Amino acid sequence: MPIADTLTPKEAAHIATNSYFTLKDWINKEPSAGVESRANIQNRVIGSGNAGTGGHANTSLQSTAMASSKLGNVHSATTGFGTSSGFGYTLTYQDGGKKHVIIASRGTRPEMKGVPDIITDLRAAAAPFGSFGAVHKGFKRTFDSIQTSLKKDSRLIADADVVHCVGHSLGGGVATLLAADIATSRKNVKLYTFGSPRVGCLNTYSAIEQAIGADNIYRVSHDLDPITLIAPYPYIHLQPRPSDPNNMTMLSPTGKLLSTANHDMREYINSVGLLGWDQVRRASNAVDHDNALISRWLLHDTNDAGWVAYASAKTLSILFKLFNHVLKGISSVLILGLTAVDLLAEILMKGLNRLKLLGQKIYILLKHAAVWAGIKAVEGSDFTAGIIKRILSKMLSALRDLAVNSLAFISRNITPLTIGLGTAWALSAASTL
Amino acid sequence: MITRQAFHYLYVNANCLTELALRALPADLDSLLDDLEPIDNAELALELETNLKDLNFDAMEGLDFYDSEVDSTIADPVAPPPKEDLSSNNKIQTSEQEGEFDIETYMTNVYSLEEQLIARIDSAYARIDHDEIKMLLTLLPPELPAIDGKLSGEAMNLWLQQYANDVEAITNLLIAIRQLDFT
Repeated sequence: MPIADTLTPKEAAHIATNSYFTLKDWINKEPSAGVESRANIQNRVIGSGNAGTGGHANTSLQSTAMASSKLGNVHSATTGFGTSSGFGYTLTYQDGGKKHVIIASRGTRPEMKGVPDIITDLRAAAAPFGSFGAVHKGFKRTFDSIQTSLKKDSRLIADADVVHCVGHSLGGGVATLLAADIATSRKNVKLYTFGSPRVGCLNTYSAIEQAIGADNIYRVSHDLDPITLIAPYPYIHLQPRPSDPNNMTMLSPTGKLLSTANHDMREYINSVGLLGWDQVRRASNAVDHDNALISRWLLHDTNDAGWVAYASAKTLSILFKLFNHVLKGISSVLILGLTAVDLLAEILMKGLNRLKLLGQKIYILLKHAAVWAGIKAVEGSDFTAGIIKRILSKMLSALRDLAVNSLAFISRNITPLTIGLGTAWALSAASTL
Repeated sequence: MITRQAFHYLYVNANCLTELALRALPADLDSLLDDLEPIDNAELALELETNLKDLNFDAMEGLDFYDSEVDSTIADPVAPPPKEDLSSNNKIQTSEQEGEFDIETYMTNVYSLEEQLIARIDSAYARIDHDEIKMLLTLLPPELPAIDGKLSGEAMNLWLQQYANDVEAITNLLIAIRQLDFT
């Protein structure tokens, strides 16, 4: 059973993965709008784990200490164009006389074909979320649509001693809102996310942390997972600082590059493996959180020209690292775990005085960023808002392509990938940028 | 007219120069960090007091990920106190380098990828303004080896040194080539 009322990393990762099986025909790798049969979901979540013809890895909890868990309601949400589809499930178990409820939410919208729909998910419009402040409108909309389905569990949740909210990708965003909402009733809530985008605007992250309790948040990400870099500033992750104990940012399977494969839930399963949370935290210390690692990152195994295979993504990765290197000690946005994109967005939204506060040195980086973006920029303080916006536009464009590919990757999900295959896929995808 | 072969080398060398210049930056940046003051808790607290209404969303119009549709009725949350001690995270540490970078190997490797780059360079070549590129080439420092031909690692180092000296003609050429990746 989970130790001290907390799911293990493996359990949380499997539970997040299994939420995808609620979507109709996901088990056959032909996802479509609708809800999968309960028998198949049961099989995949806590049964033999072999239902379907899609060749998915077996992530059933049957072989774990949670084999006696019971599948509760299967949830549906309006995920696009008014279509209601399987979005997750409730799982219950008892341990040490305590009642536990798990609510799992899936990510993306593979049942809805086409890139425009995915891009809609990524747009950063804000919406009010109770007393917490502003949150991402896309997640709020999905959160709202799941409420009807979730009401069937209201008694279960009310009676539970601990509620665990789990999700991957956009499902991590929805799980965050579910956890915050349930926490307002002073319920003991735990939140586990993998590759979650940012959910709250500005201080909203802190208000949510206070409601849930920072110790109850387990935010796992890969350092070069493009989905975790969005929505850009003013959106900020829970446990945003590199020093936050439950900011468990792990080394990406593809190494040094922003890559779509780093968002793959199967890669997250591989990354956490059989580790405990303390071990995941320790593993996250290997990530480039301090400046000493920047040169190592840039120079290790670099006799190949990254720009050839990875086009703009490679040099964008380098720029992110360099901005981070310089600004970590002086900028609030980077203390909060944000990126070069966020810095430029902050400058645009708060005014160019922000740029001047950073000193002349920042212009060295901006000059290189402008060349990367193919933009003619003049020296020093003559950098205008227009030029910064154009640089930011190119960065966001490259980031958007990576993010869209990441989400489309979930949708395709054609073949179970090993780390090696995932890397190869990322390379081919990124080379089209 | 720029020949396809000359453009191939120009495109490859310009992109290598852009990447190599970025790779060379950390050492320079380290030397610039000495006089930077880490943000203190009071300053951070001030930062976190930012309200949505203080942000100019209009400045982001037209950018990916930004939507002008922001609900004005949103209440800002109460700003929390900053974490007790951020200083340990702000310490600048000495750079530690490992692995051996060899520019000769790098250049050899990149020229061996000609076949992999054919489609990309063909696409770029079809869109260039030949007169503009020729003009940009004539403005380059004459003492440097031709950038539209194969360069040794040593020759690329000469280009890197000149580029680091802010030679405008080099910057302008790189910008013109980099633009081709975004159009």
